[in-house]
Amino acid sequence: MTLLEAKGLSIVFPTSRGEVKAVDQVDISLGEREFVGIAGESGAGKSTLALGMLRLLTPPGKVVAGEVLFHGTDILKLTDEQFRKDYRWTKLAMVFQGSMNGFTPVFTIGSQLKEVLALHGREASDSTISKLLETVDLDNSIASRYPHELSGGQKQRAFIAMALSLEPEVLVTDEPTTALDVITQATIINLLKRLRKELGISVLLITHDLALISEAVERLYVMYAGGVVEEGPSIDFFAKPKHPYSQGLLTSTPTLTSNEIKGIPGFLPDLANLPPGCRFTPRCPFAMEVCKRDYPPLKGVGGERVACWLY
Amino acid sequence: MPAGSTNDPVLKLEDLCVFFTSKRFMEKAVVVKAVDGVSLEVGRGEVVALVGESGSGKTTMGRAAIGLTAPTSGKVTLVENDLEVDVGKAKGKTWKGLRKRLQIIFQDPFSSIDPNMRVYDSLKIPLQSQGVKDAGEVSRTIDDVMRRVGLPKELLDNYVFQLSGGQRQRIGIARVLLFNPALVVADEPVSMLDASLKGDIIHIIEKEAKERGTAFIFITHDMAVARVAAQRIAVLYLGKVAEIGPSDRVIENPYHPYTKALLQASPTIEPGMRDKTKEVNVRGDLAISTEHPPGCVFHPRCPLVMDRCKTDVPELKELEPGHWASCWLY
Ligand SMILES: Nc1ncnc2c1ncn2[C@@H]1O[C@H](COP(=O)(O)OP(=O)(O)OP(=O)(O)O)[C@@H](O)[C@H]1O
Ligand SMILES: Nc1ncnc2c1ncn2[C@@H]1O[C@H](COP(=O)(O)OP(=O)(O)OP(=O)(O)O)[C@@H](O)[C@H]1O
Ligand SMILES: [Mg+2]
Ligand SMILES: [Mg+2]
Repeated sequence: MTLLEAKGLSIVFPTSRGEVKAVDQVDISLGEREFVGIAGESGAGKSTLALGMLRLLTPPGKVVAGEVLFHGTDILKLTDEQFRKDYRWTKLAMVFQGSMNGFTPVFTIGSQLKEVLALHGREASDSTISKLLETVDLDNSIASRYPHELSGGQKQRAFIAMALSLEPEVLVTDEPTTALDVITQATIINLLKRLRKELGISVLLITHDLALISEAVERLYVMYAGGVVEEGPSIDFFAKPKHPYSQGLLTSTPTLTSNEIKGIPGFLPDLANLPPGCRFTPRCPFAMEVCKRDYPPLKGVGGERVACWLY
Repeated sequence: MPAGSTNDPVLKLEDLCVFFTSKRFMEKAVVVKAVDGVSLEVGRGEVVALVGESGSGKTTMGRAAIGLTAPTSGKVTLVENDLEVDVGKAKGKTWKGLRKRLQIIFQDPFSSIDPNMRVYDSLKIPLQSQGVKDAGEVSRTIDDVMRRVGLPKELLDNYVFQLSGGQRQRIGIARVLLFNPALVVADEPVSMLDASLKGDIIHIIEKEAKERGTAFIFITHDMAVARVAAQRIAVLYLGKVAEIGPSDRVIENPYHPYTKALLQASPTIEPGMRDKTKEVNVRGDLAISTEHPPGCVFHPRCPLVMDRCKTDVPELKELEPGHWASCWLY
């Protein structure tokens, strides 16, 4: 069953150069107990999409079209008060990109965790805190430290502990492991998998790291320049990505056996001046006439959906 | 040659220790040995990767290398034009001079650059504060670094908060390239970037190293990136060097069980692979424990632990030319 769903969501940022279309008519869904990934390169609109879905966008960013349904309710229509009281953190939690700065510098990690728990009427004892820290593989002694006394990865994990503290139904994590070594990364991914199993949490994982997604998710979306270009089960995707952009993304993932990292040549288009056709055209090795003219719709291709005129 | 040394060093760390003492009200003081006896030299135009898990002391070592954190003991020396500067003890004018020669790209692009600044100003201000005042030169230098980090000029008018994470990271890199530093500590400079941009950034670093002789300490958690970016890799564990050597050798023929574990845990792009075959046999974050275990610091997590490891501290041993590991297996 679908738990959280964005339908036709469009988000823009007005700038001096015109409107930046960061998210353009995106449909995304997350089922109950599902583990879904969103991949795409820097600037694709992943964070903006997630922030928009959880009502965390800051002005001037605004949702200009679409709805976000949670258990069938359009949460974009709720009042701020209602949303804060009944949804944020308790039902829908998010670990932001750069969340290692989410802590206030003047209080210890432990007291900040306690405050969140107490604010929502949960038990906030020392032992709850140390259990929380333990879930993210952090030693109890972290609780009495100030944020600046932790390493980057330690802060990142402490923030994940905070997001989990209220046992939300949906956890959205934006680049949760970018600054972490592989052993800690594996620990976090395994933790997310375990939470899904044990607590029935649904997880939306945002990352540019396809290797990470391949280990974790059942289904994924690939975003390019504000739109979804491919969507489908991991198995199908990793067996054979269909969109030329996805193919480029996959071959450019660094591996231990290679001596170079090959990128996809070219840049993302200017999101304030989007060309009419497929946005990947200037970088696409298979570009055709039609690609410059018309924007390709998502079409079913062998178990997946792909927005590309090749199919 | 001793472990960690190189020809034509531009920066020398000798037996570097950085300990943090924290004292809480009514509690006994605890000492965190973030860097514990590291000796390492970085050559002119060389890129040395520092790898190791979260909390192993990478950032602290990088900060000490450029004089942002004072060593508890040991010595940091910058060698330029046959002059040696004691970085750890530099004060006043010498310290100010060092700020231009030794640069850092911070681990986190979200806190290191004021988000309410225009991109242009975020580059102009550091330039001006170092005495570059001519408007034409300022804008030429800025255009030049934007090109070098592969960002379109249009972005200069944007505010920093309008940039995506990856774009911000590249502005951070552009800011240190404005000068012509002797050494740059790059703390996870590509972790925020997607695969297709990682290569570009590494090329930028390679080019700066080759063409200008800039040395880099490249901190990363990603072994694949370390291999591509660096000539040598140093693996850090609980503030000590577990293994150091030429990048290809460390990846293809690792000696230390910790290096082996890091390599095993590296993600692959086959779904579920790590689950089945890559079960890591070391786990837990011991790096946070304030008291280091006696003997080899890795022994509590080591799958091959022997009696001797529990009592005696292993020294770095040269196992092939320039490739050293500290482990009683050898
Ligand atoms: N406040 C803002 N004002 C103007 N443009 C913005 C703003 N925030 C984001 N953008 C633009 O929207 C686009 C999408 O940004 P977003 O942060 O969502 O990308 P992302 O996919 O999360 O990238 P990354 O992987 O680098 O984090 C980018 O081009 C960015 O410059
Ligand atoms: N100012 C401080 N006071 C007390 N302890 C500190 C301080 N700064 C760092 N530490 C501790 O020193 C150790 C090394 O931290 P450091 O930031 O160097 O790790 P790191 O290898 O960069 O980790 P990461 O990969 O997570 O960024 C950690 O255990 C950290 O908690
Ligand atoms: Mg983002
Ligand atoms: Mg660090």
